[in-house]
Amino acid sequence: MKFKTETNNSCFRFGLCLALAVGMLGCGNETLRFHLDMVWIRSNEDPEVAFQPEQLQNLSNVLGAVFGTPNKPHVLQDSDIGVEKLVNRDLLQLAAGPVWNDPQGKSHGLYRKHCAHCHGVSGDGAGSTAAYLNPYPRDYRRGIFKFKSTPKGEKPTNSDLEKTLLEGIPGTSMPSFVLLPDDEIAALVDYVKFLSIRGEVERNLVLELSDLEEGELLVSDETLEDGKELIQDAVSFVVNRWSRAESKVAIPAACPSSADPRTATGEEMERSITRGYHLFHGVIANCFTCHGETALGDGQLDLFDDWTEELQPKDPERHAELMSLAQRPQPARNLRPRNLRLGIYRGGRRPLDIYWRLINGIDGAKMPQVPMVDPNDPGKPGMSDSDLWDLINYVRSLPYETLSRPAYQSQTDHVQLTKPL
Amino acid sequence: MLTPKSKRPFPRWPHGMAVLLVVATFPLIWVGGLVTTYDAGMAVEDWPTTRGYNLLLYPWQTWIAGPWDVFIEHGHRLLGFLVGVLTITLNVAVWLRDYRRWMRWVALAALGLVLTQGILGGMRVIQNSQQLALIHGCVGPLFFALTVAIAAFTSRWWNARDLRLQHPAAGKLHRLAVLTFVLAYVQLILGAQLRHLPVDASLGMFRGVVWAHLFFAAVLTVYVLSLAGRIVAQYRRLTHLLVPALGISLLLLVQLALGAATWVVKYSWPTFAVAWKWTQYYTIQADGMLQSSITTAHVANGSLILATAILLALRSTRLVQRGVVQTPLGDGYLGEAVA
Amino acid sequence: MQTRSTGSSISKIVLAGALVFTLGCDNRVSIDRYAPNSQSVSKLRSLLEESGDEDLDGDLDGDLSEESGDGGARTENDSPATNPTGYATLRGQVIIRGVPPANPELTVSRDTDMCGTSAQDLQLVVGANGGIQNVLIYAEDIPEAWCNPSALEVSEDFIFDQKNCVFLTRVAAFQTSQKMKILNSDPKGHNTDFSPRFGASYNQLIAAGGYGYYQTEAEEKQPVSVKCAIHPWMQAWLFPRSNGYFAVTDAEGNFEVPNLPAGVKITLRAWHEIPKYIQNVTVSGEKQKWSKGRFNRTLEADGVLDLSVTIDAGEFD
Repeated sequence: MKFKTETNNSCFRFGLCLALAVGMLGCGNETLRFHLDMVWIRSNEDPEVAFQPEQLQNLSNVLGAVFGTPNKPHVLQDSDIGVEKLVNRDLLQLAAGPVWNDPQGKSHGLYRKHCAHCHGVSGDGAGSTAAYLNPYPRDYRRGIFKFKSTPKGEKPTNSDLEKTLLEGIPGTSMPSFVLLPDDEIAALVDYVKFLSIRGEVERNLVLELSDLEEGELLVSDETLEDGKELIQDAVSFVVNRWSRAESKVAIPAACPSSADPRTATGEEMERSITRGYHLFHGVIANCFTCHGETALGDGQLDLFDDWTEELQPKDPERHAELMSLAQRPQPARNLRPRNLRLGIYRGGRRPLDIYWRLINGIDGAKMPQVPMVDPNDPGKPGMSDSDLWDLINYVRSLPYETLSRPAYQSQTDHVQLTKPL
Repeated sequence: MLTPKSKRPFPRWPHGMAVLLVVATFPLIWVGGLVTTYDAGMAVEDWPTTRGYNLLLYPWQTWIAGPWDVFIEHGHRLLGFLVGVLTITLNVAVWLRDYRRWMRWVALAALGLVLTQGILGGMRVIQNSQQLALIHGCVGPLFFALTVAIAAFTSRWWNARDLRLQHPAAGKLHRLAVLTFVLAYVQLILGAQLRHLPVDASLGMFRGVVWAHLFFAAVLTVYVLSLAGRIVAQYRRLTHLLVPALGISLLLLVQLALGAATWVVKYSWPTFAVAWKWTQYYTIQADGMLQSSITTAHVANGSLILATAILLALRSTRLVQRGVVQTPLGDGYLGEAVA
Repeated sequence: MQTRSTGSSISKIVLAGALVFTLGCDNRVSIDRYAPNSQSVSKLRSLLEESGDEDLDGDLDGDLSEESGDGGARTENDSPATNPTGYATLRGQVIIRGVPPANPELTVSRDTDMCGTSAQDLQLVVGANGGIQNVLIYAEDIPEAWCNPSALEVSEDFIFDQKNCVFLTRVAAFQTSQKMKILNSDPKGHNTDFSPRFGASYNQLIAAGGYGYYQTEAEEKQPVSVKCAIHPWMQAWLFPRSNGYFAVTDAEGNFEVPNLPAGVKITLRAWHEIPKYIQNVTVSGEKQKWSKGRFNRTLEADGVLDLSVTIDAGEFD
């Protein structure tokens, strides 16, 4: 008899656990939607008059009209704006929606399968895992991407985004998707662009909204034409920026054979690296100011990247509010200049990648462009193309350089070296 | 004296079938884990048919040569079918050869569970529901544990009620083993929650489940080690307890390592590891061999822990003093004499 | 007894589990509550996707805004057909009323030999007479046809310099036709970093004693923050405009915007770094509310409008 009750008891326990699992069924399942950028909305609110709920509802409707929903993204049918030239409608639909395979075996819902858990359904970089990742997942909605062939303020090209997807980013949670077929990568690239455009249009519309009079809607029955123009301008502005990305790619100047690792003699390379060493510590390139005298990435530790800086108003209460709206845990993480002695380059380790980082700077991460000489203006201090390759050679040699190499001793050294050796 | 009954030959069929079922179910769990790892649950969009074909008639060339996600999803269905057939066979064997009436109910329960599980899996496909996938993922290991239990019930050792095994302190051991099983299952559900996180889950939900999973990992470790410690200290001469006790300890250690590795291959090194430079060289490969095998191994190993725990929980009941002395005999089949 | 204690520990564990599950429930992202309204969405979509020339089911003011032309211009001009009758000057003084709040102290974290050991963040600069420096006054949405040629043809370089880790012009407006020359008069490197919304972005190292150029392609709607990443406390504001109808108050708080179109209603805006758009003002003794910093004036041809603007110190907290 006792045995029997014992069994019943454990049955009861299994049952409890099962019931708990089944209990999950009852959880609400609201249809997925894109969320508004509440951080940006709060940041651009008139301190005296908050945005009215009708204004924000109107904004959400406008965005819904232009961009659709996560299940059914919309490509605005307006050839003057040209969203359809930028993102392929079919690829977009492939990346959007829930995960499933169609009878032809094509994978759908790629974004949710591979990206959304970290980057969020809206591309806000606040997916459920985000708080545990270092660095945090990218928020696409600012339209800023770090690793690209174009300068600050310009958009990445398709191949820049593809490269990040295919290679991943070492030392971060961003995986390499090299095992995905090409069309899936292309679909993800288009979807990331789509989310980024959506987010940036939203930001621009919020700025427009903040410029309107109290309570005024972006577009209402009374202001149909004006509102239409406002929206079209906002969308076409962002679309134009993306369309011109290809034309903004920095084409590298030829590397002189005496600085090219494939052709230079050992002695030539050594000289090139030494020249790069002096450039690194000189006041033209100024690399040492942030990357540190020893290139360990310890020169400038109190900056924030552009995404975090937005959450740093001087008022601590406001700061706490924005941090929680952005779903970022306290304290905010500082921007760390790369430790160049590791030999890990998040944007890629080819000489070309480092060339792009130097000539374009790193958007969103404060790294400036190096100043270049101007052939029409001999008085302007700057670096020549061959200086740039010397600097690249030095940066690439840093992981192998011993720390015991005498560092630049005094501040005056930096000052005197305005011209490289 | 119960001589007439005990002289009946011990029925090998039910036990053989049950062991076969266990052996077939473990790969099913493994492949099911793979399906979730590759998010291939919707690789075939129809059910119970596969791409319009009857499950068994889906051209095997297309299956073998087809895309990986279809390969594992259809494979999971085929294996599921096989396990279903084996469960039916087990029922037949138990019905015909086992003399214990309650065993028929247990076998029937297994059949019911495997059918439910199949339908859950099917509904998960038809509704493309993450929640059903989660439940499907939680019921699977439960069925696995039940097959192990049936294998234990039908074994010769179980039926040879050796009263010399009874031990006054065995009640404690038994309770410990049952608790370990419950904990292992709660832990498994938490893990399933992590794997089936809704795409729009909040950061708080992820945080809650991760920390609960870590907390229960710690609790389970304490329980498993104390259970194993008790067995080694007091019952080490009972191979039937000692082997699973050592097994579950080993599995647990492997599981802890696999769990930590799963985090790394999915989300990279935790923040504090940035200080160790070598961690920074690693680039995760999505759906790569390392990622998918470690993650799936963690899942499958969790089921093994659960199965070992139920084995210990059941075997330890045999040590509990019942106070009812039915027979002074040692080895011998008791058949329906069990109260 | 033992069984009971075990039972209670089981229930504790199960309860803890249940807690986790209930936590799990209802824990979907809820950032905002503005789900798009499907009816409005389809209406807006058909509005946006109809071919541009078609009339909007007899919409009344459709023609009106089309002629005013300027993208996004939403000021209610009486009638764009009215042309300016001439040009006039707007000038005045911006004065603070009350005790100005102290500027925050800055932490000079590097290069103290060059930057000094302490510095104030010169957000608010008040002259001896109470005049507020660095208030920006500009005219909004003036059609190009209305502009005086003198407000359009500026082509000399706009000089933007930095010395001792201070941008020498804290708030500066310039015309998009001007090339901006960014100087570094310090013996160490600076980087000048700004991200306008419409124009090209800029973040370049300016070598010690060197300079760089910036040419923008578009005017901005709001002043753009300028920073230096090497010396993060440095701050300035830039405002590229397509015409010359802007002024920044001098050390006494004086400003003058000459050659504004007269005889038509124009919208002016006032901006300062701390309150951003200046909304609460007293003009010639009369309290006024300049919503979003806007105030409308119709100037008389060849006339001079003198504005005496007083702002409460409280606006700068």
